[in-house]
Amino acid sequence: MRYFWAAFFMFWPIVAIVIFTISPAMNWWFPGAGDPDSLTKGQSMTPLGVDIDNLFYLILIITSVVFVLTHIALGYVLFRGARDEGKKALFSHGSHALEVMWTIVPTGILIFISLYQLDVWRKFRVMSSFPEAAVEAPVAEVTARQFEWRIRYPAPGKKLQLKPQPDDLYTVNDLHVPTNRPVMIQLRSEDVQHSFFAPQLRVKQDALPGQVIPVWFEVTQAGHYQLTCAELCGWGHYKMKARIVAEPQTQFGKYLHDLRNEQNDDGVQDKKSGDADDE
Amino acid sequence: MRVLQLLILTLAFAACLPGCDPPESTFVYNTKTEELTRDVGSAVKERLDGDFGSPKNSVAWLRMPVDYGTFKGEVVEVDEDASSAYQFRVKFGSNGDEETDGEDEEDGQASPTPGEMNLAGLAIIWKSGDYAGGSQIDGGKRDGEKLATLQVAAWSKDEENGEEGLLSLRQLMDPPPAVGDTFEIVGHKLSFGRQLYAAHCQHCHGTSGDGAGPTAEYLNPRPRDYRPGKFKFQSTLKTNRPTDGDLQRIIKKGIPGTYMPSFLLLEDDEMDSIVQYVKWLSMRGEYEIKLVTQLYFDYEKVVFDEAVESALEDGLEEFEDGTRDEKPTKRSIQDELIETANADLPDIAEQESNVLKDAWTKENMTVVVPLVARTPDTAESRARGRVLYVQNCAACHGATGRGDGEQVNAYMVNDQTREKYPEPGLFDDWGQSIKPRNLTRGIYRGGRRPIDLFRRVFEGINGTPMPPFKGKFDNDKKINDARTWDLVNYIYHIPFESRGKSAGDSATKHGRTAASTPSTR
Ligand SMILES: [Cu+2]
Repeated sequence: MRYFWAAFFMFWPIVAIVIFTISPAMNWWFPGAGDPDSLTKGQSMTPLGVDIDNLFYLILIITSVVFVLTHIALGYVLFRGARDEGKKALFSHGSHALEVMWTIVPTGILIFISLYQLDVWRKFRVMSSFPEAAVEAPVAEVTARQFEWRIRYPAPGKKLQLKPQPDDLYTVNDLHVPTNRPVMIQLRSEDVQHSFFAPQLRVKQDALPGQVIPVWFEVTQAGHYQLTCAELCGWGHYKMKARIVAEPQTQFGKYLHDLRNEQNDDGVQDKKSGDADDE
Repeated sequence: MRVLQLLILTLAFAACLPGCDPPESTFVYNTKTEELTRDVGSAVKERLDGDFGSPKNSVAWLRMPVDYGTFKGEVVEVDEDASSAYQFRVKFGSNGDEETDGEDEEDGQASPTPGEMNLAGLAIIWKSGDYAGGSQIDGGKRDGEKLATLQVAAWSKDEENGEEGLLSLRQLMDPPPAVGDTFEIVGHKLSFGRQLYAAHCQHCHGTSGDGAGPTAEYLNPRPRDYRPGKFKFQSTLKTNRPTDGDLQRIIKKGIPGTYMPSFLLLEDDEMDSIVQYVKWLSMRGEYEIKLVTQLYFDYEKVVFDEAVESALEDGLEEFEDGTRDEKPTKRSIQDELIETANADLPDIAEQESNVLKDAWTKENMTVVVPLVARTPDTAESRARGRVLYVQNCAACHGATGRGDGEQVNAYMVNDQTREKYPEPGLFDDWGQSIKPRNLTRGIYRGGRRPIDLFRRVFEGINGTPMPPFKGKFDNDKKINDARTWDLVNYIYHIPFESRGKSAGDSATKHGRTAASTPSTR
């Protein structure tokens, strides 16, 4: 029992290191990290997401090193105290130099983190820093509602307007975007607060009723990505499961073209674009 | 004292343990079934349960046009020494019975195999061999086509060959089946559909499909009650049932403007199974309503008691006249009448289930297809549409399309009771207050394609006061359809018309149209 507290504080840094090490393989990491068949393999599918991941890793490394070192130091002190029984403890009124140091060093680290992340924050949230091409022609308006995502695209060749237009195209729970170019969506909510969350793209933005919030991202890898709601928005919150389909520009153009044909289906012309129920 | 407190706490905890089990899921019966005199009511319930089962033990009633899901297989190995067998080796996806599956081979599709699927509880029907066509092991049900879905106990697939494996049954086969006997395992879509329905739909639409799940009361409009067999948004005639495609479309796209969300990400097999289950649930509900309707006139509790009284009086008179041998008692008269009901019930069930079967058979449905293509969306077409709108739609949907026509303040007559509703406004067949759609919002519940709007106008909306307008605009069918397109064109334009006026929209195209049509305010 003499060494209990020393062992206790030495135990946690070991647990932390073990957990860090096995996390990716256990699928406790970024989406797809533990799954060799996944499209993402734990990587972000947007360039900005890579920057966000790097920030995350930086903070993780700083906090882990500090955590492990402080616990080892604490454990060592307790170990010494327990071992050297009968030895008189040193009495001190404190060290001014030491106190200044442990104030300045964390302050310095925090200031460094807060300044270092500003650039990523600016790219992600400050509209004047958004890629111009994305701002000029938003791909779609995404409206969250209880409990689904309603999507409105401008007609091919036209620009998205704030108000619905007669030739707009509509889908639900299925957001298509072109790959390898920055795209912007206009995010709205029809009722309560929701959150547009695409974990594999590292995009998360709250949707607020009464506001139109621009969100941009650039998907580098074609594929299907999850879109979920990350704000508990009511009893059917869990139903807000949707997908983002990233595809090359030509395919995206074809998608909009097909969508327009489907939406203009009058049951007579262009039978092949009609739905199965008309057979 | 301390010990006593502890004891009470422990006992209270122990008492709550059995209560922590989830409640058994059951189908509820219609209120009208409960209003039947007791013996007749329970006979109806018994028949209903026999034909459709319970949520946990559902019956794939093969008469009903539901795709319950079938796996075809063949016995490949039976223990030779045994005189009876619970289990034997089978092969799925084979060519199966050569005589009967000719129609499937025409599709050129391989018969599906169950793979890792859990087949426990599904029915097995023998197609060849000694057990073919017989009811030896189908639990002795009333007729050969009826099957309790309680047959297969387990299926374990071979590792190296996915089509072969060991099949065990819950009932003993004595003698065992012969090698080469073919069979079908029926009902996997029904049981899969039930699981999916429980996960996605049940909390609103209810276990019985009565639209009364636990979350239903928070919703406006209320979730659909499937039991009357009425579906609002379908591609078929108003009197028809919806096609599988119609149901799929609603599940995929959701119903904007309501709480019915989109379930777009369901896999194809999930979607198929849910649709089959919803159809089956609707058939069960409507079957019950149909049976009860046939009996309600004579066997509703109050009516029945009166009938017993008067029959007793007549009987006593006859006894005194000497035309009746035994002195009748209330009990004997009751028994007599109930016996008649019980004797009639099989015929009623036969007849009504056939009506239901025909209604849901795809060949009997007519999909509404316009005779002419959509009229180009010009100002002239919309102006013609506007005239039709004012004549036919404005009474409910309002002159400006806001859903505020004068009918909203009128008192409607209940179709069933022939009485006026106590409150003004419109009501649907489920007795819920319903508002004419506000057409200025550009939200189209049944879909926003031109064909969707055409069908809504042409056939009306089942179960609601929205009537069909087919043939109302012109005696010539083609001209009528062209007029309908004019109206559809105008309806599409309504959201932009009101906006153009209020917001001073400078778009000249819209301004011109508004000027060429009668003033809307
Ligand atoms: Cu939400």
